[in-house]
Amino acid sequence: MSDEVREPTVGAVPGERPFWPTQMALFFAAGLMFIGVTILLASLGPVDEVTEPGYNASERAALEEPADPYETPPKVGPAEWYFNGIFWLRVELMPDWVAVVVLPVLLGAILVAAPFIGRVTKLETQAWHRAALVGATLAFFFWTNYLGAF
Amino acid sequence: MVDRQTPKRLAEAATAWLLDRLGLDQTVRRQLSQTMPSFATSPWYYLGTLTIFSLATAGFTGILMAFFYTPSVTTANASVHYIREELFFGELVIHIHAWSANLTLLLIIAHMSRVIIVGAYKAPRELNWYVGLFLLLIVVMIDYTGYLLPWDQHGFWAAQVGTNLLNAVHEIPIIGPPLMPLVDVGREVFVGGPEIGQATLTRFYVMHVLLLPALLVGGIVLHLWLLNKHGFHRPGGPVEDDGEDEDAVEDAVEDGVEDGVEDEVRDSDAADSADEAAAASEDEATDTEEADADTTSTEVSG
Repeated sequence: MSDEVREPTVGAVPGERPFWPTQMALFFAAGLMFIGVTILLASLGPVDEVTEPGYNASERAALEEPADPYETPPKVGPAEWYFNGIFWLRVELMPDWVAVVVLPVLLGAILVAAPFIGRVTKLETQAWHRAALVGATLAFFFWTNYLGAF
Repeated sequence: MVDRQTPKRLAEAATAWLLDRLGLDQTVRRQLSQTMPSFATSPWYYLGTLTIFSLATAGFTGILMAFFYTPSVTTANASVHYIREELFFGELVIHIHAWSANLTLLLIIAHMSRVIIVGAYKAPRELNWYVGLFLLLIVVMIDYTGYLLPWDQHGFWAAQVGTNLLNAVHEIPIIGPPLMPLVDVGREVFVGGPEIGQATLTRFYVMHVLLLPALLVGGIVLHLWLLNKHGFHRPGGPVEDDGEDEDAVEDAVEDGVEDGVEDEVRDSDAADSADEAAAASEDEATDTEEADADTTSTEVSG
């Protein structure tokens, strides 16, 4: 029975496109365009500088000083921008162990359990339910990261 | 006679020879003859491919920098300074590396969002969903370990913040304190001691350029293989195999039977081929003997 469902995904729907060479060429063209955009962005400057408010392309930032364990810089933050949200939550809203351990573990558990949640609970979710959930999660993620950046 | 078609014919012959010797000719032919379903030709379905391009960009620029970078607390910063200031396009290469790392994560988030919205994480694609989560974790770890490598103030103190956050485990009520020995073992393995230093830099470097990229490549291959096996999930399509155990057993039995039949066919084909080859070699041997005999007779007569 599963073959009946799996097979039509390859080749039985009207309007389909040959993988070789048409789709492959389109993937390749999209990939090259993406690399072009990356090079363009990189030519503007480093990520953290270009994305910061008040960025000025004519001012070239100096390389950071070598690491000194005995001299704490004025602003210490997490490594990548996407950790800023967790950093902000632990400083402003909740105890460290909730922000750093409980929330990530909970999120991970939900993602791992996701394929089985509908089956166990018999919960029928529509695409727009999931779109709303994803939208709300991303809004929270980017909002907290924005707040944590300052 | 060399004409305009010669290079093309040579390339096709060389490709055919290589695939034949690798035993991949049938596989590649089958892959290339597939078609993309109409719904999967939308730009939303390009996100996975773009992620691979982004990772390849990061990998390529990383290899370029690895020629000049030295993972030592005394020279790491100077080597990055050298790449940035002295090498031709060195600064651009560093920035491309950092931008592609960040764009990769954004692409993965967009790709994951699409997968969730269309419901492609459900059975029978759960395993591929888990492989995707594993790949996300690997990419985050690659980003994190790469941040320390320039050995500058920003990266050093960011790593300090990250490793200090492990102490938060101690604050978890009841189960926190008993978990701390595990955290200490993890810190010893990944950080190389209580403080960030040369041991940390070496460990992060090895993880960033060897261990994690190897896991990433393996994970991507598995991800694509599973995608190929199960095909694209059709949004709003018929209800798919719900992955119930009975179905899985049925499928396995059917697959086993089909495989068995295929094997038998393959074996009989192989046997036929072997017979043909044996017959051909016998004919050849006979021809050779006859030729030798002719030659001998010619020599003798000559």
